[in-house]
Amino acid sequence: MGDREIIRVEDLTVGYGGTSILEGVSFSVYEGEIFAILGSSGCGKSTLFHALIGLLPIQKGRIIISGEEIGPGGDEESLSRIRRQIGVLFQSGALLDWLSVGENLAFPLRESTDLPEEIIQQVVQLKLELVRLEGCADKKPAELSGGMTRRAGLAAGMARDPRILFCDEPTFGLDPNTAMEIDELLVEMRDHLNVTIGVVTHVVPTLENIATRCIMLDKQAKGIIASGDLEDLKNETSDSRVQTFFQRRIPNRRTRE
Amino acid sequence: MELESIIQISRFPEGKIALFFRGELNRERSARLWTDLLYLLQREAPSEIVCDLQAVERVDTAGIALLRGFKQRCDEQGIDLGFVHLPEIAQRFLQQGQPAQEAVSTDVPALSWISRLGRWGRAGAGPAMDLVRFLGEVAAAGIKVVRHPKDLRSAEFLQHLQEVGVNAVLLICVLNAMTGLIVVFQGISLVSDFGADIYVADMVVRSVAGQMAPVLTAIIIAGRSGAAFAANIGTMKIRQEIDILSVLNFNIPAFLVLPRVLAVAVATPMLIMLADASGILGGMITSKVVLDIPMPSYIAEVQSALEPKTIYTGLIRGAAFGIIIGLTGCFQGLRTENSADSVGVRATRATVISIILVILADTIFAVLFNAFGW
Repeated sequence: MGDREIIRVEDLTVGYGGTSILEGVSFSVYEGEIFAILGSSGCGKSTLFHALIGLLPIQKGRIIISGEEIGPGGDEESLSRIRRQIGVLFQSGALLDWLSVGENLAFPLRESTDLPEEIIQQVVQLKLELVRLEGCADKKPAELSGGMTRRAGLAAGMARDPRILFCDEPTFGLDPNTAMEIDELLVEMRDHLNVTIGVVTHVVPTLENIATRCIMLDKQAKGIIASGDLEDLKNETSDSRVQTFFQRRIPNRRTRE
Repeated sequence: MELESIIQISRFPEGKIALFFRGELNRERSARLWTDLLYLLQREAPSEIVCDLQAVERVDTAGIALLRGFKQRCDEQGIDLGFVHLPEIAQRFLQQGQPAQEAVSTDVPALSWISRLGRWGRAGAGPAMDLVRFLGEVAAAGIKVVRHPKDLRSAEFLQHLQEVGVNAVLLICVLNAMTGLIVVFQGISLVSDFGADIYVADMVVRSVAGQMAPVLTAIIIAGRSGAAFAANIGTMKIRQEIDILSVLNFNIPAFLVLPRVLAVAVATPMLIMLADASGILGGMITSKVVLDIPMPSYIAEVQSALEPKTIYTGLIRGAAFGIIIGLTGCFQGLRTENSADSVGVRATRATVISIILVILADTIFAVLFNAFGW
């Protein structure tokens, strides 16, 4: 993990319509981190995620990504420059279903770079190899399994070699083995491609596998209730919400003899 | 009256009784038990009841409901009811002395009329503002394409042109040929009485080519392509494909909306021309078969009746109808919420609104063309 701040969120208030979901949220992400945003359902994880990738207008505060700032009212140019530096993996994989897997990777490269077609095809192959989907370039997204879709989405998110990769629930709904593969891929991406990763998740094993630092959001607090290393959060004893998140046990549970 | 065998009763001084339940306290037995318990209340008129459930093997929700109902009834009659050896699951619902959970207030604070008006205005203004923004963005994308035609996504445009236009040719031709046939049949009774059979050709030209073909074609396109645009874009929205395109810096109006709107705006006038021709052809065949009007005579009559303005007003209307259908379908698609149900709702709405707007626009065109003497 580097010392260079790559994302800074300052006093951020975001929501839908006139209602705010998060208020006064501030945190920083450093280069090379796998930074996790966690919390229970409805706490505003996805809201923050959408604000970070510029899909949700900011009501107050600002987000600075690689020196580019977005604030209330939005700045299209600045947002456009930010988006050139980020890749996104959505929970659904978000592949364009009328294109093959290979075309999904090639498409953004054709549109946003002047790379020759031959090189684009090489990049596509390379990215597919990276996510272990070598033979799937010609398959349509509908032909892929859930785990393969997620891996293809990851490759598509990495197609333009972003400096930052944002992932929304990358392992949610996957079986433990497939989820483990995605966890490994994310760590590999960070280690080998030097990409900073922001992950929104509530899957504890994924957090344990990949996260270097976390913030925990809460619905009632409308903001951050805990932050730091994962171990710090797991050992947090003063806040029952944090404890419950990591130690999900039914009190006095009986076991069948 | 015999009590259900799972209840045994013990009487104590001062009107106290103990009820011993055993076996299963379940849905099958609850109805009979309820009658028994009410009968007991009436017969014994107790001052205090203790229900012992030690010998109960199993209790289901109907059994718990029975106990809770019995407690409520005792409370109403001022009878002190207690439970002993209550199964764990029943304790949650029957725990004595436990304060009721704080109810979540669903009361909405009363609003002044001005606040209500403001909320109503804001709720209504949201979609209106979205529409204005959408039209502005599409117009901006359109102006950009006019200035730099290379910016038009020609592959997508041609693909949509094929779907909207080429793939609809057969349907449009068949339906409009049938319309020509209907007009001839309707007209026979009018013109035959005067021995003026040949004028069915004029009727076909005036009614089919002049009026019915453009509107019928637009309605078919609204149902076929407008709904498809809404469903297609709506599904993309649900699958987060639009989000990913936005993140990839694609201009959504230029990428998704403009090629569709242009395709339908180009295809509709062409299909209307085909519809005109099909209607006239349908009329010609029917006239030949039913009225034995020679085809050359029919064609000559059509030529004299068909004015150039019928053609160009049809083209103008067709382009306008196409733009209306395309914009409505795409706008509804982009307003899809995150549910599969919403896709269907938006597709239906796209069709209905398109048809209403097409007929409204046709009315305006009729007034305008009349005012300009076209």
